Amino acid sequence: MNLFLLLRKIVNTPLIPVRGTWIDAAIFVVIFAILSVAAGTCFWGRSPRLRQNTRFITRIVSLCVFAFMFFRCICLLKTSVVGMTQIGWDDVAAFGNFFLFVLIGSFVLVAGNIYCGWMCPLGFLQEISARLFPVKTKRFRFLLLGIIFVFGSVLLFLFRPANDFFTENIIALWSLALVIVVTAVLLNPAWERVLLKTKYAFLVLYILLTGAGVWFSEAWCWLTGNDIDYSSIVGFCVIFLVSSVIPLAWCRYVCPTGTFLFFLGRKSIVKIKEPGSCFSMENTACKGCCMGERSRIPAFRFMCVRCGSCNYELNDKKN
Amino acid sequence: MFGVDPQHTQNSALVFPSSSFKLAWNFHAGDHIWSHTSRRSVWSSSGVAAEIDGTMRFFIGSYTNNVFCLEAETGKELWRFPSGGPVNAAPVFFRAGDKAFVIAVSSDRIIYCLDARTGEKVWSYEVYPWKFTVFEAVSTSPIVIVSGNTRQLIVSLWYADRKPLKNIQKGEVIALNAVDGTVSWRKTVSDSYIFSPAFAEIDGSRYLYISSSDGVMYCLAFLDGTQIWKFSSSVPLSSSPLITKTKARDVVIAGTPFGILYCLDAKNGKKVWEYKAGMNIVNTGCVCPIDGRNVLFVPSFDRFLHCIDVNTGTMLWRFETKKYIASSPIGIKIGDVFAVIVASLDNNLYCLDARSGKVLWQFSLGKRLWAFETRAETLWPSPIALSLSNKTPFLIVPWYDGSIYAFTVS
Repeated sequence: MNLFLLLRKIVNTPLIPVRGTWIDAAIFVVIFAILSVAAGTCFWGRSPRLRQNTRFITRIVSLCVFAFMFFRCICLLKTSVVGMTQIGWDDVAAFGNFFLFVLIGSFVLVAGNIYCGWMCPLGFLQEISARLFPVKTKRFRFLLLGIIFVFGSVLLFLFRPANDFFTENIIALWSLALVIVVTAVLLNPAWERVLLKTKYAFLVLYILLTGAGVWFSEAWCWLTGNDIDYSSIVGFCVIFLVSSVIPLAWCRYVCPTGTFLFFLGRKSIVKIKEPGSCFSMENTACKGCCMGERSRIPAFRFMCVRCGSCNYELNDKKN
Repeated sequence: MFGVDPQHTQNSALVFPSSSFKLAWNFHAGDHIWSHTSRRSVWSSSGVAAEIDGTMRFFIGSYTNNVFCLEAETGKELWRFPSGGPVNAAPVFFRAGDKAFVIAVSSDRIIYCLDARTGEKVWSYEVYPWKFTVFEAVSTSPIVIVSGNTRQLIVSLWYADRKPLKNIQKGEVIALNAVDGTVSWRKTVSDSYIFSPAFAEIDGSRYLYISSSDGVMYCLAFLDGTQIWKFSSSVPLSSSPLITKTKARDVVIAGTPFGILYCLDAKNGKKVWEYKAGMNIVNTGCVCPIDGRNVLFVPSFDRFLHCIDVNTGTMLWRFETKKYIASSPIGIKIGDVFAVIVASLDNNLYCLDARSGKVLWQFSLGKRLWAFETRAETLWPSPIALSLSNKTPFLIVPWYDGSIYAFTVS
């Protein structure tokens, strides 16, 4: 437990309390500032290098905010579903839970999915894994996936028996499912077109489980200091390692929050130009795409997280 | 009352001759299983026991809307009183002269005072009238404090009226004369859920402590409910306050859904220490004096029972079960040794050595009634210890399989 004391939060009483409660308006202000920087850089950042540098700093700040500053559940979908059920019952809690989603959703509607690209701590750590420990050789990829799957399964089944195994280990099980999906993609890249749709199933399942009142932790819960839950830690470790095989694999194939935000982002005011400039394997400007060089598939078009690493243009009227 | 005393220390200090518990009786409320909803418990958060006319009786509320009176030695039902809603809060017992009363707060927003002998209603007080837009209240276990010649009843209750134009959400603290139900004062402290009040007398002054799910701990004057201080945390609070002493001061302790345990100075609300468990703490636990210091046993959803030194907030040991621990442990003595009885949602009841955490005895209880429960939104009852008139100690465990288990020592 001493390890987790390192995640002691700096903010222990609300800086800007909402009606004298635990809800701290300061975190909304901070998130607003971070997303404003993100959106502004997307709009007006002149070069990929500037955008990338700004993005890196913004992600560090965002990670520190969630890991060290505030106690705050950042499960947008979950808290918004819970918040909606609390309206008229506990309005203060409803506001605290729902407003985060409203704030982030608003930015996504305007600028596209900048939350995933500029704020999400899990996405940031996955990128670090992909960039620092990339596994490019096909044989080693399969080997690593096999080790991850076996190791994760052993941890779950052997060391953590539970009365309600599935509901208590949802995130860890989903991360093992991710390993299976990634393995299938590597075996036959043609399957990816279909496997990209698995995230829709996960999204529906996520909403159903949350609506039914099944409370489960997420892969970032241990990081943000909320639930230091075994399933959360196992899930995170698996997701982190898998990202070195396929960058941001969780974001591509599973992440329910990201999937929902991608849907919102499809109607964003700021759009990315059609394939041809960004989504072309031949275009050297796309080499830095944080979602990886897998852009032949049109379905990827709306998965852009506005990382700004390519020479994209905005608001092509063909869209 | 809930928590054994108005400070919610959960330390009965009842002496059991050994840890060889055996099942004495098992009581079942009935075959009908009511559906699960949020903040519903099968039994009230705890029960209360009292001797009346030479017979030890046990009083407990139920999700069947009834307040039950059972004979503690045999488990035989003596009477039941039907209220208008689930009775999730532990009742409180008190005497006035030769009369004995039980007060229960139902989620139908009514405070009932019953004759403890017969179960007949003596008086009732409707906190908020029924309307089509009103939902079940969140009631908490009341306390009764003797104040001069009066018995002051303190009740915390949260209710909501979802009227379209004038939505009401109120957490109120109400002080009444326990004998006749006359209201002394009412105070709205929060819009969010509030938990069972705790009482303390410090330096001749009397205080009430109320924790709220809006993240605030309130200290009120006992006489009129005036706010003395309040402490705002950055997370909601999720347990009733517990009052105990360190070497230097009186402190009030409360838990949170993020596993943080706050220990505050009871006089001024300043934070003394905080402790981080892995997951939700929905019950503040129990305090026992061991080796000249107060030791706190805190249950958490991280599956551990944490043993913490109240003076410093450091962990002394922790015991792992296989699932969440949502109910408060209770402190007893086995011979000269302090022990802790804790029930885990892995369907086991554990008796642990309070010094080392070693398991002295374990019993398998039944599975919960419902296929699932909403984590931290369902209330789980805590065991109580009582002694019959012939000094036979009993351990009574209301459980979420719909039964009440009673153990004694062979």
